[in-house]
Amino acid sequence: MKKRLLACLLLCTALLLALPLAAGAEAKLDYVNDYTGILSAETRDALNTKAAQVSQQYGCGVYVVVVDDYKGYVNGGMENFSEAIYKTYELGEGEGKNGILLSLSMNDRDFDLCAYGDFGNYAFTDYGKGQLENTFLDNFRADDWAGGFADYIDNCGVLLARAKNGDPLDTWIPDPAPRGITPGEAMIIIAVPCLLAGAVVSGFKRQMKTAVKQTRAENYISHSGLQLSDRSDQFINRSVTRHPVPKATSSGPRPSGGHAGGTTVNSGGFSHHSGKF
Amino acid sequence: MASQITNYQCPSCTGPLHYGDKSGMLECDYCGSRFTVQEIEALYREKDEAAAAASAAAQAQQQAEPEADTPENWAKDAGIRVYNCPSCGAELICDETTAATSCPYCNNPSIVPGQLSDMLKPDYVIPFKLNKDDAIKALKDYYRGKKLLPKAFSDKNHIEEIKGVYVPFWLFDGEVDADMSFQGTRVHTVTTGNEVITTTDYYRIHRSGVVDFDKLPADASSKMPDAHMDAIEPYDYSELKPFSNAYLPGFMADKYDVEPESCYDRVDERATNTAVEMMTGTVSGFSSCTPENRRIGVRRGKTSYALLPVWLLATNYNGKNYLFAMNGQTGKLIGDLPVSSGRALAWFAGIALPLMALLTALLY
Repeated sequence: MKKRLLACLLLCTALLLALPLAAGAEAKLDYVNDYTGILSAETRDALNTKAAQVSQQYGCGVYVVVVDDYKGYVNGGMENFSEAIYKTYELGEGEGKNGILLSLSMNDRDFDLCAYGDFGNYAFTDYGKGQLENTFLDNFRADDWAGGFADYIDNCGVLLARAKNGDPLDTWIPDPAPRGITPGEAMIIIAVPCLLAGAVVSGFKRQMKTAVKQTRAENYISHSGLQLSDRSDQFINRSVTRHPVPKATSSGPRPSGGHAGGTTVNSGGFSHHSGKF
Repeated sequence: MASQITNYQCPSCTGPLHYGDKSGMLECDYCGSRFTVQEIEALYREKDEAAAAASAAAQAQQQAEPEADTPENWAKDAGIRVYNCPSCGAELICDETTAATSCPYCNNPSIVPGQLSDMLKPDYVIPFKLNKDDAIKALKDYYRGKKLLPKAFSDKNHIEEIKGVYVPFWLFDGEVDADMSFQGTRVHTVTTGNEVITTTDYYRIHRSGVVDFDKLPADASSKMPDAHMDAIEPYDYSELKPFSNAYLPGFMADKYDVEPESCYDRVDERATNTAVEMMTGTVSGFSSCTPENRRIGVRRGKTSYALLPVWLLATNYNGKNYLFAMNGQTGKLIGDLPVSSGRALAWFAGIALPLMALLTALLY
């Protein structure tokens, strides 16, 4: 079983490494990479130049990879494919390898937007990626590939410019609309004050009744008091229990009434936005 | 035949004497002369003895003679005694336990020495230290700060009766033997890495000992509500004095009509509760302590008979009687008060409604 898995992984890596070779390129990807022939060479070069400009201007790579079927390269979903490409070909600008990759799988018409790096994830928030896809999906659905990629690159520039200015495109997610009081809350609202008020009034009522029989006799203990004849504390046994430390739940301060959308980053440092076109 | 009643009269002017709570002496209402208890005791010893003998003779005669259909015997059957005031000759109708009273006609303090002599003689008495004015002031103070007291009760209410009474008490000496065992735990919690380690040590705790009690009181008068008499405790026993009739003039007094044996349950319960509390209090340093077994034994010692001073104040409100009792030595006053339903409701609403509004604002 292990041998099969290892063989599968090796095959996938070999296929991924074979991508640029198949296209007759060096073992390094361009900004715009079409392995399906949906773009003419001129268009691809023009888009590549445009993407290179944006990437260098903001220090964040803007990439496109188009394949017939991503399933021929990796196990798992489209997101795995994007991450594998990004890592295998060391995409991204600068030490932080910041960048965004738009992957298209033509057979099933799948796409994935994959951002990486501190600045990449800062610039392309979950909300920002959603807005970005709206700019090219209409083109792709009309098979206007060049127009869609151009829009993608242009709007990546817009989002990166905003992020550079410290104002990434993000949204304010309001809390759910005010809701009605649940029966449980109604019980609390009624019961707690009634119990408190009842306790106070009971205290007042007790003040009104002072003729009560004595049940103690501490005032009549003789001078000798308590004379202990035996006093022993004998150890019997010991029990030890072990429990895992409860995990602390984060509860950082948040603005009232809602919270920032931000970017959802996975353990590999990538953030995604996927779908069909 | 000698009178069964003694009036304590001033040796100077024959005016009535009463015991002065502030002076601690017998004072004449007319000439203002003052006499020590010992002086009056010496003067009236013979008179008291004669009155006691007359009382005993009267009882013996009544027992010897067949029950005649006379007013005296009807009164006896009803638990009433009839005496003649030695000062004005008027008939004094008293309970069969009355030991000291005042003549309703001439207001002379009258003592019935036969009620408090020989076997019935108290061992001790604590003289009154506070007077009627102190009791009235204490009652007014008691009304203050009572949030549920009807306004009409404190504003318009008048005390209908106020009297200083020497109430008979049994004072019990004794000791409680207690043998108790508990299960105790000591819990230590240590956090190491990602584990919380709780160590619980179990102990068997044993305590055995004796608690001595001195003069634990129980009222010996069936006329006095037990709760009232319990609630005005404690008395300062350092002021206990050997009994003398000379402390009684000016106050009411009753002889006991509850036998000591009838008080054992009350007294034992109090002593046992306290002994158990003290014993449990010696168990310390444990995270938890659960009683397992206990053996309690009460050994009774000497029982003394004492008259203790009580001011009784009675009033009526809306057709219901309210009785207050004040410790005639310490001034501690107790008594149940009427509760105004309107005030209780107003307080309840005044607390509950704003809290409901606040909680609604917080939750919604």
